[in-house]
Amino acid sequence: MADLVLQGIHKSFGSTRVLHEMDISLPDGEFLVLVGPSGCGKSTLMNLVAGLEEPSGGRIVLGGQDITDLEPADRNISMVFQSYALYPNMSVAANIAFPLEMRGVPKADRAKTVNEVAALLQIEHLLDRRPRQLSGGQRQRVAIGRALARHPKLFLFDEPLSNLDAKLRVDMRAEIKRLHMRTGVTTIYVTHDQVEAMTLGTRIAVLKDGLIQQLATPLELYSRPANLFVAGFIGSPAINTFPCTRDAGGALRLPDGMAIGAAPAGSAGPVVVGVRPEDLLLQPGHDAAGPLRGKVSLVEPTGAETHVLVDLGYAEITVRMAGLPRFAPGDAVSVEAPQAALHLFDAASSKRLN
Amino acid sequence: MAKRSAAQRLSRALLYAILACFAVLFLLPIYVMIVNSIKPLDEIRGGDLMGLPRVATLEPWAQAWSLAQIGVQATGLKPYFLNSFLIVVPAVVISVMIGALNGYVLTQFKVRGAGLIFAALLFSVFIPFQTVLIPMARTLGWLGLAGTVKGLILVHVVYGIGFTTLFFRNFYAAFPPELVRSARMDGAGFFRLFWRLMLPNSGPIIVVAVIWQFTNAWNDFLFGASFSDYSSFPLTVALNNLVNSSTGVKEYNVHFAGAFIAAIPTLVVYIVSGKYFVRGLMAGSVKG
Amino acid sequence: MKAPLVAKVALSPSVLLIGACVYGYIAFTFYLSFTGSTMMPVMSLTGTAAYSRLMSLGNWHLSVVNLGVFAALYMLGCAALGLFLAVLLDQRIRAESAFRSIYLYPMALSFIVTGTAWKWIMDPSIGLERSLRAIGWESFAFGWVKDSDLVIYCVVLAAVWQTSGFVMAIFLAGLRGVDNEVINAARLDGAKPWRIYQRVVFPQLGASLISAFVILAHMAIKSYDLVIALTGGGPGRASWLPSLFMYQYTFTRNEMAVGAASAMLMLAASAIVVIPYIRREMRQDRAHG
Repeated sequence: MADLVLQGIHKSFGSTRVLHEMDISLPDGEFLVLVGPSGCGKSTLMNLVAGLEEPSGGRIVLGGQDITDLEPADRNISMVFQSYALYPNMSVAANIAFPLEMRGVPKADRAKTVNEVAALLQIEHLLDRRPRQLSGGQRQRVAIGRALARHPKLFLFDEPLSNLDAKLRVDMRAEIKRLHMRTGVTTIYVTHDQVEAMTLGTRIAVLKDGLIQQLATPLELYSRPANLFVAGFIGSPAINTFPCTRDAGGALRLPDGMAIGAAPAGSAGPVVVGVRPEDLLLQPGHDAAGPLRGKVSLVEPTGAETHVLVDLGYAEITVRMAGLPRFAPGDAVSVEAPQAALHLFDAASSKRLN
Repeated sequence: MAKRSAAQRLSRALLYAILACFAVLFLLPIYVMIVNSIKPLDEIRGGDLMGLPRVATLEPWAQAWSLAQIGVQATGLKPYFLNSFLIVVPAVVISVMIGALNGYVLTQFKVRGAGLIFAALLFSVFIPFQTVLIPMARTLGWLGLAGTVKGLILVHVVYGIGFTTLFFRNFYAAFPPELVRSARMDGAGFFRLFWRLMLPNSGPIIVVAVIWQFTNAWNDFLFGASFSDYSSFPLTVALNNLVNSSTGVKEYNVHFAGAFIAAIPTLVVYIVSGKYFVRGLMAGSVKG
Repeated sequence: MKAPLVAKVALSPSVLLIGACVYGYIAFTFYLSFTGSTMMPVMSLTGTAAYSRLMSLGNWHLSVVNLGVFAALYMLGCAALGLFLAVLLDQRIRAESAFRSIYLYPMALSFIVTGTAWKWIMDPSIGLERSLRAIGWESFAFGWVKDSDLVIYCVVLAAVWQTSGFVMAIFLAGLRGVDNEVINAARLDGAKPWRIYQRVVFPQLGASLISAFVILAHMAIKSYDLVIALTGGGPGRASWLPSLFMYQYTFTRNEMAVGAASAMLMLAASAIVVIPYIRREMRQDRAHG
């Protein structure tokens, strides 16, 4: 159990900079999720922390100890890999005991730890089996067990749920969360799935092109995204965005000329306005005050709520409404966007303005 | 990975040193062959097999190529070099074509007993050829092909089919079935499917099969020794005669020149084909 | 798609050729081994006389013992050297492909060529012994190739030199087939490099080991060219192998039935090694197919 500090960490492969300088401070017991599209550098960052790759610069400090120059074996970090990476020639028990064996833990203690871990993960009945005889979910538990056995200072998860089917993924997500609550080990978790990120993390780092776009709690990420990328990445269905111009009176004008709100003070230039689908209010007909007017193009009922796609002429937006559908394709509608729900971004720099 | 320590640098250096030592050991015979093939005989007999020649001469090469007595006449290795080509080239072409056709049939059609046929072909690759020498000699005699180039071509084709079929069968087993299906739906029949779809996309495996067959057939000795006569010796048999049956003065330098001449074609193929050679070697061993 | 007639016709020449020239011929040789054939094949059966005679011959005993020694050392030597070189080359070496090419090129050469080269290198009067003595190492002795008891080891040396590159290629492919993530997991679990090889990598080389074993065993049984070129079977008959025995007794000593019997025993030895391997491959094939 320890806190993790990354100071000025960056990595280049030859002349390609994969990770730009970043500083991350992770208090003890936190669950940090690294999320981003493929190629954003999250796996590279993970490998740097694990010691599987050398950083091109910067320091890594775990629990007060500088581990930058230590071999992976000496860092007291455990990792769960995407493919689980179980030793195919060993039984489940031997797999879990392996890291203890490598550290010279006596046989009796090893067996004790293996049984404890197996009980915690409910895999006692699998201890004598080989990995190839296990299902995906079972293998995952064994991988987690092997990582737990060492009582490490830091847990690393590299997209551990990607290889599971949807239902299993949801179940395992909850298990990992429960496990973290019980053991309290500082954890870094990599995923490309923003739903996983939002549900698991105490804090989330959104990465793109080797840069941290925003490092914050899930709520903050959702309600106050720092830039357009984060706004569009987090939240499903994705946020609706409109390129807007300012008029002389300081109002923001949509492409069709309708005013959508006041421009933020202290900025100049065009603004991109973002509104989340659930913040939009849909009214039938074109008479209501809403600045957005159009026709319903598609209705997607998902059970508890309905997604309504509205064609505005210059854009198509998604609106989330509770309950069963109340509109049909072809209906004329107007959509209100409350000022408080607007996310304003500078069109040139993509940075948040409000 | 921690920064390179002195110990790690030392062990890397040791690694390269060991690899280099073995490289020298592996290259030794070729070095000996080349170096001694251009030495005058007295230098070799003077005890210096390993050293570079003090006086270099191409006389041994001339001897080996066109002057040494091997068969009935003193013709050197040239006619036998030619024999080997006359035997190997047709054998390779025919056995590769047959292997391709076999691989095609075995993978794209449901043939009854395909598994057994393939197993039988696979086993034929492993048998000691001593088991077929006697009947094959009889058969060749009966066909009037005993001691002829044509006879040897037949022998190499027959015992090469197992290998070539193995190569093509494994290759075609991994051929995208959707391509075949769509070609069939477009109306391609048996030969059209083979000629227009499968063969044109078989480049790599054709290269592998040709290289393997060429090397095997060129380097063969047993069949050559058993089924050829003075007019149809392949190069390996001629070389062995040159080296082992010379009475009186042993002309080591001529032997080495002859050995190198025999080695050149397959060495060239090896150097040029590189990874294809390795693929051929591996195709018969580890699956997948 | 069910096989149309033309497909069966296309396949039939091979089936017939292999059926006749491999299995038919084996059957013929098998039959001959129960006859009294001497110079020419004779069709009348004489029971197991040829086999009895075979078993009583000192030359045969010598050949079999030689094969045992040769095969064991050859297989061990190639496997050990091949694995060693493969592990070395697996260490992310610069110029890896150059080294690999050097270790592998002997496979491109005929055994006659390499036998000729090694013959003179090992000859005490002009070869290694003479050269090393000439540069000062007076007591160096390497006359094995002239020594009846030691000559078989010369054949082993030359054979290992020729084939270890091949075995190295097999093991290298096996090493590279081990999942990199599993190796990373072992690194994190605290295993030092040698332990990773020992506990994680080598146990997964089973398939490679079996392939290497089968190929080496069958090459050992078939070894003929190398012995002919290197020692001619000598000195005397000291380096005879079953393959030479068969050839000599059939074509030179005019005891065809005995030769046929020896060929059958060679086949039996090959079959013991090869058939389980083929069955395994066919089963795996069906499993994936």
